[in-house]
Amino acid sequence: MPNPDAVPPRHRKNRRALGLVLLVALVPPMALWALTVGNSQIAPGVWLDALMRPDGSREHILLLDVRLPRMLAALLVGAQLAVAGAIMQAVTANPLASPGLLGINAGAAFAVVLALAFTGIDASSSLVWFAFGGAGVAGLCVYALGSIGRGGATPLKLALAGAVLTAFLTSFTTSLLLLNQGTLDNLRLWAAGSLTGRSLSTVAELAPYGLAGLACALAAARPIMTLSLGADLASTVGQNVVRWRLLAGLLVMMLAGSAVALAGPVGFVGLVVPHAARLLVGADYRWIMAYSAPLGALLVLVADTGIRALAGINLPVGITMALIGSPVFIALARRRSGMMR
Amino acid sequence: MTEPTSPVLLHAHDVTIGYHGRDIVNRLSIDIERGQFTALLGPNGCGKSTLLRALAGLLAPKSGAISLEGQPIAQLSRKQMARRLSFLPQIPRAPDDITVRDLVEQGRYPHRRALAPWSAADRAACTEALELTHMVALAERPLAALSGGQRQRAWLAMTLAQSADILLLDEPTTYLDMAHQLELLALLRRLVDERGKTILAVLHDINQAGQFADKLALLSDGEITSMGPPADVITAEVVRTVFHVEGMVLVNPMAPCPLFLPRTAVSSIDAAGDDTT
Repeated sequence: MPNPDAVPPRHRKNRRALGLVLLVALVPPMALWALTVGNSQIAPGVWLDALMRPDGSREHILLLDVRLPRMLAALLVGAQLAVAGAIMQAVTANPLASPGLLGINAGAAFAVVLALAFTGIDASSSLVWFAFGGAGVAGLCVYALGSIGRGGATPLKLALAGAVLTAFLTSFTTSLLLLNQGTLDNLRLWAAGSLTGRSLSTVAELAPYGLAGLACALAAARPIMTLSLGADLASTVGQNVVRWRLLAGLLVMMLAGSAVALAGPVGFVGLVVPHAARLLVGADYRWIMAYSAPLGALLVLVADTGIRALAGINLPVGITMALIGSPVFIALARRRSGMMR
Repeated sequence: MTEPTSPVLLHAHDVTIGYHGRDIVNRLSIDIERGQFTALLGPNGCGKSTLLRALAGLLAPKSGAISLEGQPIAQLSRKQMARRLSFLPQIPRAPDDITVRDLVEQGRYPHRRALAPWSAADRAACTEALELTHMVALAERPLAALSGGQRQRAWLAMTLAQSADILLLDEPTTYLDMAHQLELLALLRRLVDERGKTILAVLHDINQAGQFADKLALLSDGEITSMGPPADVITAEVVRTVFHVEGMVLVNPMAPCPLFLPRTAVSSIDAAGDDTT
């Protein structure tokens, strides 16, 4: 329950802006910390050397070819999936909407594996288009499945349709990976959602799609906020609801698709982060989306790095996120069960 | 074609409107005149809300035409429409935790261009809307923390922030107590008299409608059965036919328009001389 006491609008705005600045400011130190964590101890100062004067030493290669792309991928994937989830929750007024739960990640992953197994395409810049297509088709399927029957696309029916499609597509993805063990071996980690083994060139090829998606999402924050108030209100104040729903869907496709192309289907980021942002800033999706980007980036970075720092094991981030996200999901489903019917 | 100077601002001609194969409004025509407060009255389920939604461009009629200053509304974009006409639905909905100010600012949507900053005109329109509805002190509260009447005023403020010339209001007084009802109707009257707004509002109380509106339009079974100045429309015969209520019309000692004093509801079979249902 938000605080009903009047807070002067300027204070509220300043507080939200300050929070956002703090969150963004947290990203660089955490990113540097991530570069220091791993099996080999590398002194915190070496990264500067590696960037400015790479000398081909083992430490420099490790930093530039392994840890740097992994860190950048974590930030991108986290921000993209979180903002995609925020857009989905805004547009569908559905607290359970997220690229993971509604089958969009699974669709993108399936399309990527399908392309790899049967077309032989392996350039990330081409595969990402399959990811977009898979994400879009899966999203449409879930919406169509969830709309069948009385009451249309209720949150619960959509979540069920998403779960069914995810299970279905994931089993196909797994079968393809098992059948093509030789060529696709390195993909098995990816299919669980992993940041391991991304090269800097892969990150550089996929980053423009993700960054463009993030920029468009933030530019469209105002109409998305209006859309979040419901189709009825949105059209009375003059919004073309059909057009903006379509554009929001394309944005989700772009953000989630390129995130999956980079790191596989990482779940729960898009579900958990927008809710956390909402607790911090209230119902205004302009702020929820702005907060979701750094929060998502930090969450995935810390989840991926933290488990290595604490336990010393190299767990795929998809699994770490599931460990963190499942309890949050259950808490959300219990607390908001009144809204789901 | 209607001339721009014509008194008719919003015009529906021979419209049939319905959902799912059922016609709710049958071949209805109505003229809403510029600078007038028209009250739309009728029994439950007669098609008032449906007609209002169609006039607001939210529901396309099956046949017939609706035009705004002579221009068919089907040719206007949602945004063009929202700049000239604002609509308040009967049960508007928004997330509980949105603040009044954020809600009212949504009213500026049709006036804002992509990426354009919040302008002085936007700020002025919102402040004025909050002042007119006495919501300034409550502007930072979330909707959930408001009473029914306060919430209704918040919605009206959003509608006013739209700065449209025409306001279509679906039962704006329903959740209000008597004092707030009178206050709201007086506000609507002032908007017409001082700001030149044109208002079409669905109201339930025929005496309130007679006291505040310039014209009454009575809707029954999807058809306008009578329309005109209150003194012409409020007759025992008309009220019996439309509302199925027996009563008498008195001279109102406080206002020029007559007063209807209801006595008893009559069953629709007895009342409806020419009623085909």
